[in-house]
Amino acid sequence: MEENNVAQSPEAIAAAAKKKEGFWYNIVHNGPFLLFALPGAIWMIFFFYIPVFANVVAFKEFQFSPDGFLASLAQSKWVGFQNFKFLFTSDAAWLITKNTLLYNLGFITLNLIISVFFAVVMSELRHKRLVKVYQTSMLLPYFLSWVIIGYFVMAFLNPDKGLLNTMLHTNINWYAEPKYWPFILLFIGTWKGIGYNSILYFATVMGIDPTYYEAATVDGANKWQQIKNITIPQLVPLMTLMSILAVGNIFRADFGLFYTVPQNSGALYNVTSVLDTYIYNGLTSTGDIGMSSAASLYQSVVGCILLLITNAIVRRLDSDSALF
Amino acid sequence: MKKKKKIDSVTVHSFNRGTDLFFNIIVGIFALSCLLPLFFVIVISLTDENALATYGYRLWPKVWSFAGYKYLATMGGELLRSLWISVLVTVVGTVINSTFTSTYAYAISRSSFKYRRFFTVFCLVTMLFSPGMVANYIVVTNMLHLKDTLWALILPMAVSPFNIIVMRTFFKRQVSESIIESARIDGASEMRIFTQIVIPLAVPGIATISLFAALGYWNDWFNALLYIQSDNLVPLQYLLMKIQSNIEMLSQNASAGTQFGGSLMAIPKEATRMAMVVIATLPIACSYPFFQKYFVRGLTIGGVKE
Amino acid sequence: MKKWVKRSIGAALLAVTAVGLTACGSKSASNSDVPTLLMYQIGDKPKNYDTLIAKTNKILEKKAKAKIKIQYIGWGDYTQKMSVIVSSGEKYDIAKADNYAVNAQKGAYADLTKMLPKYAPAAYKDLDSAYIKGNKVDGKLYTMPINGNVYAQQVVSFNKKYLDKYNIDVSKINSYKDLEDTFAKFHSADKKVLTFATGPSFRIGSDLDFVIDQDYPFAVDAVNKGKKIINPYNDAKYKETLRTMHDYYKKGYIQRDAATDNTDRPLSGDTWFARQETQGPFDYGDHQLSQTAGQEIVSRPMSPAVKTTAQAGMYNYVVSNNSKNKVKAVKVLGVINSDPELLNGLVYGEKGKAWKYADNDKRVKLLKGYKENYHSAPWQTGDNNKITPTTDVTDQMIQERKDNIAKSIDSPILGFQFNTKNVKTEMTNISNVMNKYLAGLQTGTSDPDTTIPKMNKELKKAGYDKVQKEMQKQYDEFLKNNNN
Repeated sequence: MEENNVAQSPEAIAAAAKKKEGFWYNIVHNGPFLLFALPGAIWMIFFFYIPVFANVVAFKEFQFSPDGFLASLAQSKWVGFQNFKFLFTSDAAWLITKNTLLYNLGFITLNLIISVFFAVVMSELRHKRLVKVYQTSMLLPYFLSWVIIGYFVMAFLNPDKGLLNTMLHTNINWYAEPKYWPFILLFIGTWKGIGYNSILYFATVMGIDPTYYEAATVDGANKWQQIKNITIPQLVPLMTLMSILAVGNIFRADFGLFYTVPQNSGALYNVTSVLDTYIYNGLTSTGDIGMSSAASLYQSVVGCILLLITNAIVRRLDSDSALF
Repeated sequence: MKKKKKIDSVTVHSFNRGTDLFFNIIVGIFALSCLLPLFFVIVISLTDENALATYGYRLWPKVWSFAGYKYLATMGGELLRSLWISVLVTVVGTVINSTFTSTYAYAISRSSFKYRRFFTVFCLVTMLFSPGMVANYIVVTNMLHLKDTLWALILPMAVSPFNIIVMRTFFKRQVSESIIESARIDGASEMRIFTQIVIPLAVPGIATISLFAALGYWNDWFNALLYIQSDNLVPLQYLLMKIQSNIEMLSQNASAGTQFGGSLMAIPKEATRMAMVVIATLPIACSYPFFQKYFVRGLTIGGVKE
Repeated sequence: MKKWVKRSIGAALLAVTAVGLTACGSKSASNSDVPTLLMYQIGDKPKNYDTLIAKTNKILEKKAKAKIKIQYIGWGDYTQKMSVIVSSGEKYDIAKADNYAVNAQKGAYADLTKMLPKYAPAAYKDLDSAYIKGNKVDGKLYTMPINGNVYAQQVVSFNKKYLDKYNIDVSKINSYKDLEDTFAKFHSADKKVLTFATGPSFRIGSDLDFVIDQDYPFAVDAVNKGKKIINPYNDAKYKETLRTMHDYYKKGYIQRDAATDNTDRPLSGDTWFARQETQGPFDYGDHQLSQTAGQEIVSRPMSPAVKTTAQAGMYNYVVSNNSKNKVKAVKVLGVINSDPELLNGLVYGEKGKAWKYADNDKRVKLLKGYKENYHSAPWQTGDNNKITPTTDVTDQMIQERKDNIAKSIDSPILGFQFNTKNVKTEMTNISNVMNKYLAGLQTGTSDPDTTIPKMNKELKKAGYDKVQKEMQKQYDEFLKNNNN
């Protein structure tokens, strides 16, 4: 093994390495790792890199050919950016873009703070059995579909029979009052995902080397100092990672949250319209595959650009936390 | 084998009593708010349909009824078969998914792997763009010929790029290069290093992504919608969705298709819907503690070697 | 730790084997003179499918030299799954059309204009002419439609129990406006029960016929043979009805959250006094509705009996453009839509067990074996005229049905299929604007006098005028070609 030969000088090692560094040398040398990555890579080729080319349909006016999809794709006419137009030309384009961005920024921030808070707190609670109960119940909303959550919310907000109006002795027609909904949506969206999101942080906290805490205790650090100086710094890379990934999806909104929970109420459209609901409302009746892939491509490209920018910023601040 | 005393996580992780009580109350209230919807679902599954229309969704029913469960009981055989399919797909899928995901993540987490940047980006790109339903359908049916097999439910979710990226961070943070290096000096093969040193150290991470994979498989109905035709291979979530949409259709178009026959209107739509949620949620929620167990294990200290 | 790994691997191996075994289902394809055609149907598979299909295939084998295999796709998934199947070019032979006109324009279906009269003459000649006219796309027919409710009207249906209880007479009601006194009387008598049950998908009935559907604001006066594409929300009568609805909403006849309320109020229950339904000739007045509800229901019409494009395309069988057996597929459709023996077997279930002939084979008497999920619904099976009626349908009812069909009128836009090709962007914008206002206006939740101007302004910005112009152009062309 080259690296272990202590007798050689560093220059000699570098020279030797350079000499041997051909393509095949690298393949063999990295063989085990390549084998580890192989199944995943093959999967990505089949389930992503081959089918992803069908996205050209976004630039076509799709017509069926009796010879199958590829023939249809090939024979369809190029229309340039025609299919993208509906995303920009409408009056609501600015509103939905703004809504999507702001809500997602809200979710990224809230998710980050609250998940980390719960993960850290739960790792420090004394009754470990109780923690398991908490965690299991916090995961429950994740299992329920948005339709069910929508019903649940309605049990509270129904204007005539809802619990909230009954309890507060108010008479608010909740599904027609836009001003409450940004808070309701942010709350419900965060609440539903928090159990799921905090698991990751919890597992990370549990994976921190206990000797750190032991040493800190010996040095007389209190709990708060331990959290601040050990736990949080250990969580930062994951927090950064999750944020970068979330930025990549910032142009995608959770359709069920924005469509089902407000019961698709027209009166709330100004605060509940996001890209995904807009695309859905616009395309369900026409079902145009060109336009729907155009919409998805647009969301991806913007997300991709934002992710690259964020990653570059992070790399400058702390190269270790960056994605690549 | 292990010379050092294993430090119990309870001793390093705990608040003092006062703080503990305070945070218990906060977390407890939040946990309760999460239990509430399930309670709500159970209550509605036991509420009489006409009472539901008159009094709305309430947290305590005015008129009790078991009609939803009775209706589902009539298709008990189908439900059991689908439950078996769901369990099978979830178990096999989770094992495959967590294996492929962690090997890939491990490879790109090691700085000694020359192509790690390439494979990281290779994986990242798949998260940002989506290939579209039709194209995926063609790959699965025409290239891989998986239509109407269980593999069509398993393979489309066999790797999760998101989990790969998460696991990569896990491996980077919690499996230090020095442990691996010392194992290499001892002459251990990469495979041996991975199974005997890396995996044990990364158990909390692997348990997490396994849980994510299991949840994904359990909740998935879309692949079944696309690829499954045979009644014997329908997973639970898809079966429940089918039952639901059929009931809904029939009750909405009572007159459009009047010749449906009289007894049909007696199916309690909402109660059945909620009863189905109960059936679909309980098994997976109960399996959670199994994964939870491994969040804490694997806390071996420093550079312990076997 | 090793134990954990070992156990997992053991479990995995076991499970993989199980998957392999389950997956190894045998697939046999018969390539004889009698091909088995693949047919996609919507709905739930009947529990006795094997028996039903065996009987059906016996007849088909004799009469069409082909067999069919029916693949059922659930109501909730049909649109999505069919669009993937059609887009991916997967082979199938027959299906219920999904998004008929658009897919026909894009070339997904086989042209049956000449094939139907040739290979399915019996079924073709008995079709109401509205079906042929209504389903033509650019002059060509791509479907074998099911003959059934050729017209439909919106009716307001009353719970007879309450009519009797409060001694209310509804026989003079013929419009939404006429409902006022009845509603007032009931509402003052019974505040607990909802007077007029509506919901976000409620749409008022009118004399207009809509070019796409009622969710798009493009309509034509159906009764007076309108030649202009109009915005219904500028139509005085349509607007007046919306005002009436708003009035009812304010008076509390309609639930306060009507625009978002999806609560299911069972037809069989007593949680409602009046509701809106759709009825066609094969409903035999309130006969079918009452039977479905299990209680008596009395309805009054709110819109004229018009044969529309939507009604003509209620259930369209299409033959795939990539089918290898187009001729046989058409023959099969011909038999399914003309053979009473085959139809009765599908619609009522097993002969002898679920039903038997009565009245010299002119009626079908249902037996104890007639159960739900053991037969298929007539309107999605085949020509309703050729299904033998049940014993509770009288000769007088059948005569009335025939008279009603004869009396009903053709919509002027029957068969007009708007091609959205040049205005796709505008259409999506309009759809989004409409989604914002529709439920509110239709259920009476929003005041039409303040909401419509706002909506029209947004529609204008969304490109309404361009679409209307394009539509008018295509409609003029259509009128010229059909020399009306």
